[in-house]
Amino acid sequence: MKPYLVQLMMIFFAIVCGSMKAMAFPDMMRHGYANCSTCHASPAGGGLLNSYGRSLSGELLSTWKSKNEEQPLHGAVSISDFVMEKYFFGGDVRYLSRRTKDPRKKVDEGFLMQTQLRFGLALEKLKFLMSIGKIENPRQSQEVKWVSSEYYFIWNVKEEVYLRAGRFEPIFGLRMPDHNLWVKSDVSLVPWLERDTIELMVEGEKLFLSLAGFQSTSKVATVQQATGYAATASWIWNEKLRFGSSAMNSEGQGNRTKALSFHNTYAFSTKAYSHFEFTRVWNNDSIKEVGFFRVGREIVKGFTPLLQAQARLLHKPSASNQWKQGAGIIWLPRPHFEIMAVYEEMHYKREDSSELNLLFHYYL
Amino acid sequence: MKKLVSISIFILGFQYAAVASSLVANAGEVKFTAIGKPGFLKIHGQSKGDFPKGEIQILNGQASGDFEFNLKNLDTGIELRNEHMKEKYLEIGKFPTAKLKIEPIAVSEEELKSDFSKKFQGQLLLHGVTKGVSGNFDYQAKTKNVVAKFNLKVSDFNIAVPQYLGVTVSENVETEVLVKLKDKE
Repeated sequence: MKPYLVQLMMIFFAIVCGSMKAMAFPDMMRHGYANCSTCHASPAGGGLLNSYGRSLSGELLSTWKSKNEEQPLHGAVSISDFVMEKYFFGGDVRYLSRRTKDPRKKVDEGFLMQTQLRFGLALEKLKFLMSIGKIENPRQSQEVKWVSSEYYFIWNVKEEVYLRAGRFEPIFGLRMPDHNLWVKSDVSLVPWLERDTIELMVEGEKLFLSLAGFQSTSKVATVQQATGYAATASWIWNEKLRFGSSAMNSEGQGNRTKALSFHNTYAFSTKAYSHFEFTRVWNNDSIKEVGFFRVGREIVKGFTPLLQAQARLLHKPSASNQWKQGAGIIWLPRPHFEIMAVYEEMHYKREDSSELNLLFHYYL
Repeated sequence: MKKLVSISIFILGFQYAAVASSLVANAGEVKFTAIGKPGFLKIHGQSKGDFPKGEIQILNGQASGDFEFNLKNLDTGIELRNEHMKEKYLEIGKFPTAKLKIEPIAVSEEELKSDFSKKFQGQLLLHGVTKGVSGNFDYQAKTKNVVAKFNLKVSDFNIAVPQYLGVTVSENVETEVLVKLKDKE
């Protein structure tokens, strides 16, 4: 059988047999949800869902649902709306199965990437949010350390102004959850590089602004430690296009990095969308550019085939550029469950390789 | 007798001249937009498989009209939201339709031959309450399409401010009514 047929069958098998719900969906703009705070406990998006976000995961995002299935513990325990508005509870389990293949070798691996419990408390103008659970090096050990890698408070200073401080990743770029995208990994926006951050956010009907200052925690390896700031501004045009720009500057241990990004999400309709991000990174005397493009079309409620491409261009005489392009699906069969399968072919130094990533995500 | 005949002819003639034209709706759409907070959520609703029924009469250079729309045919794209909107807020069991009565607007036969925009005022019956509304409308001569836009405040119609799981919808709703007209047979 031809290799691509095997890969397609693997994707199909994963879709049919697997199960798992995601949290950060910048493409929700196609349904009128231009900002994150409608569905998430934090206006920055991601992490804990609020009660409305949970409800929407069943009503709008999932292929099937039964009554109260989107509630914590799948609705097994009845919790009043009052309690749900004061307290947040959730968690994430992400498992990645990956096949990489190049002319010399084929590697199959599977590992637990994330096991986290999340808690939150909402007072009148204040929210306290935290996660517990960390897998330090998923490829080497599946041991979960029950420590907190993310915790912060959010103060709703005015109706549209928020200040948050604590341990979290600053806002930069599209705010996609996939940290393995080059546009995230190449600016060190990865969960294992913990930062203590203070961030101001302004969330308007057509404008979103954020300004953050951050410093690596002492748990980060000395060579990766950095202190810096990040800023993002996004505009929403005609409820269809969110266009933004982000900038980041960080310094530490002889490293000085600057990044400038332009990004957008376009809603063609309530079913189709695209994401685009281009980032230029200056690191000491080297310069690289990373790009990402994804287009998705929901064909059945909760089931979205997608095409995506990534590029990494290095401005060095001896360096080679890298390209990846591929196709995949995002499927939210039921509330709490997400499956993402993406097959990409990569070109690097005149050599072709391929990568199939199957991500199973369970949201508690 | 002569006098009676003259009066009758005058009255008949007047009636003929007075009912210059009547346009009836044969297609259209109702749309609305409301904003929810937090996050400036845009809620868009529109009619599904139905349109406002009614007609516009032009009498002595004055156009007026009556339209009625069945609220059960509104759709916001989310089933549960539709259910809340219709059952809890619009209470369509008790108040199934919305009616808009357009107050006379000066429109000449000549004006109807080209596109124009005008202001209008009307009385909207919604949720059992009649309240004055005002807005603008555009008329397209070629298609005989009328697009009327007006804002309404749900509290004016004794409709509670919609709230659901921490999301509160603004009480101001932008409304747009498209009516495709044709000559009444």
